[in-house]
Amino acid sequence: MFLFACGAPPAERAPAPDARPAAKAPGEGQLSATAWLTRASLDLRGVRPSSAELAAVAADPDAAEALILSFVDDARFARRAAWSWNDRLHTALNFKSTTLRGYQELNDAQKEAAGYAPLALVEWIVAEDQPVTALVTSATLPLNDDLAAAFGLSAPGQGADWVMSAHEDARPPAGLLTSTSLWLVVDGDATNHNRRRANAVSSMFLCLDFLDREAAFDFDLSVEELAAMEEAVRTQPACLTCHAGLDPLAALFGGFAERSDQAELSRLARYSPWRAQWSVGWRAPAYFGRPVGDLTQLGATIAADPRFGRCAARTLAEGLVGAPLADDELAPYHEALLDGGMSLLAVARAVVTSERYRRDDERALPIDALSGSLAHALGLSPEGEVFTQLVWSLEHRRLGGGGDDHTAPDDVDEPGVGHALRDAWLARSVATLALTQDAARAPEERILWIAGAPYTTDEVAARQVLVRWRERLLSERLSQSDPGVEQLLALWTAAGGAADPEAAWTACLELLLRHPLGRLY
Amino acid sequence: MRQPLPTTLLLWAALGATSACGRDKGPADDVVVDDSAPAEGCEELSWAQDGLPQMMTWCASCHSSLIAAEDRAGAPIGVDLESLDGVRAQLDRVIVRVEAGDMPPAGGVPEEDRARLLTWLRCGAPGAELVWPTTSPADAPEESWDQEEAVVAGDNADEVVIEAARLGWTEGLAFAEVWRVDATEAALVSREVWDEDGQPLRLITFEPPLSLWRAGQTDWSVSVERLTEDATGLSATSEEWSVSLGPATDVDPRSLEAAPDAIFAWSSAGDALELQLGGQGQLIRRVYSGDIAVEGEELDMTHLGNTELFTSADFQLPVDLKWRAKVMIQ
Repeated sequence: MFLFACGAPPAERAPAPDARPAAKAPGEGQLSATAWLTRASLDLRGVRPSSAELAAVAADPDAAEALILSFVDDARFARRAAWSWNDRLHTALNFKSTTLRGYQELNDAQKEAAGYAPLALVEWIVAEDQPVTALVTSATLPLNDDLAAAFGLSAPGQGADWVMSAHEDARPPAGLLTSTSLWLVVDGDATNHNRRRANAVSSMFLCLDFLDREAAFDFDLSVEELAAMEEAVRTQPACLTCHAGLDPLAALFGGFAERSDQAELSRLARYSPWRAQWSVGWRAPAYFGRPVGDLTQLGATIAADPRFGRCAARTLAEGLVGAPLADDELAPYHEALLDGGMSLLAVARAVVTSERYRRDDERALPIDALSGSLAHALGLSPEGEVFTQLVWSLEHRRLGGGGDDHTAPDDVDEPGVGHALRDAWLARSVATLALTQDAARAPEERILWIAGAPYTTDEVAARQVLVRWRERLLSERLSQSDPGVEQLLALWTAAGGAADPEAAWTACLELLLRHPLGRLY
Repeated sequence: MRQPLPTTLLLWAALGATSACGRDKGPADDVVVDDSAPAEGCEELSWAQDGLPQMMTWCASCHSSLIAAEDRAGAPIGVDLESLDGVRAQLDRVIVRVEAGDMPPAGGVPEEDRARLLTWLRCGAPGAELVWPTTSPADAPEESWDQEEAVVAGDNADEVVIEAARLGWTEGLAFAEVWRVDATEAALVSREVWDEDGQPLRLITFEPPLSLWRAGQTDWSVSVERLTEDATGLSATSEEWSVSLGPATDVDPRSLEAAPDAIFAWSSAGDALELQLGGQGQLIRRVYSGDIAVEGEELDMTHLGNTELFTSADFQLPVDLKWRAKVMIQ
């Protein structure tokens, strides 16, 4: 979290009117107002709507939109947006797979800081409502004490809080284009001339992956014939399809360390102006036909490129919608970005109030929103071991369908069997802990045991508790005689009942923690 | 708010109607140039959102007036598509090539992109020029190699000192290399390292002198540049310099198999040492590990193996590094 993550008051941030849908009542195939509220709350704040918010919208469905727009201005949205960018940048979790020397000696906080640092810039941009162009133009980058320790930098002295800091070395300021974390994850070596990094720039900031290009190769050349290959990439049409754009861009990234399993992490984190110049000597640097002298100029040029804005809007919009968007679907969100002065908040407002967003298409809760919402609903600290493990765990992301060792563990929106396995583990891990912690609180501070004594055996109190749990964990507002409550009471009895109330209540909470309604939204 | 293009328009464009060349009007923002093109929708199109993205992605890396001729990969001079004016000047030609689908030469443009571009082109390339930030090639550092001075010096002295005291990449460290130069060979005689206050840290004498520049390497400046430290790109540090003290056989570049003609650079990290060796079109990386301390001028290094990075005789190292060192006559 940023020290200065203090969003402007909602009144100062009027939504872009053009981005709003005219209809407020749900149409066919659209979510109900309360389901829309729940989805938006999870997407924007990472927590479920409060009881009061649910009640307000249940009483007046037209109140949903104003509430949802207020969520955009919630300080928690910055971190949600940052995590959604991980599907584009891939640093947060791919850093954990690194074999860089010295990485394994870092503590967990340092490892996570190293991977999260690029996302922290997104967090800052959203928290401060900076133009998204800061991604490639910012003169400063987030730094915290953990990251400083990992990379051998001077600590800002604010603990785990991120502080925007200028570079200590001679790298030109250019936002993420100068991010050490990014270029350690997307590394290079002397033979590829940083082409991998160039493609990462294109992919991350323009949504154009050179690897997606198809070209017909009509010549035969062994990859071992290096000189011939170097000649081919300058002359062969099939090679030029990519290399004409890729190579001049790659020439700008020589200042960052080459791949090495020998050098220490702190050494690899250093930028070398000499090496940058050497790389420039390899190929005249240019950005799709526009000469650029250094990374600062590159950042300014990317920021001016219309493809950048479209890609930024796509990244956030697809993160919120949870699905790839066709160009015509993206258009209003892109326009909101342009009309809003490149503000991601403007995009978010356009998205969450659009019919496309409100479409009744169940999707799986992103893992950071899952962990955050559960922590909030159960009263657990989001920094607790269980949730940290969940968000940062490659294993659990893979269970959720998110890639493998060689691909980025992206959030997967399509519900799958893996989600159920992960949720079973989660429910087992957290149910007892949550009940125990809440029971230890003063009665007026309890979140789960809101009636009777903890582990009550009184049926009236039990019904109140179960209604409360369903609301906090599933965003349902049920009466105490609802069949959903009756089913839980039956489970309570079967799992031990009054003879073993601890087991009975734990079973009920585990069931709710594994309930599909808690994962689909 | 801009509306999506009508499906019929996209289909029309995707089918590649061929009558686009029969235009009798010059391109302009509000002109529909092809009679068969649906007029509606053109006013919604722009250079920034519809033309430029496709042109930059698929064309301008070669077809740009802003890059050197040798970087155009054969694109005809004058056919420049990085600007709206450039596209309009070649509109007929561009439409024909995009319709034919033979640009880029090896193809690869998704049909959706091609259709979108054709639609915009057939509308007469509407829109306004985009304002780009001013950019320029990288400025050379202030310190520059004075080749003329070096040549004059070479005529009058047999020892040359390369001083890198003021280079940014030798933080807190300065050094000098003393060379003996004759008609056929340049040999490294000694290297002295001192701190930024001018206090000597180390004097290394090579006896016999380390031959690094051989006859046949025609350009004096190239030889020196190849000897610039840190050709790996790893910044020079005091540890890196310390390894050159060692008399241990493995570290002596003269004893290395494959006998590259010149030390290229060396770098160290922790207890590992990388030697980058180059010359005659060869760059070979040898990786050692071990204690790089120079206590008693003994190095205990274990050779981990060679990695050939470049094996091509045609591979040329960049030689435009004259700004890296300042040459003086001792």
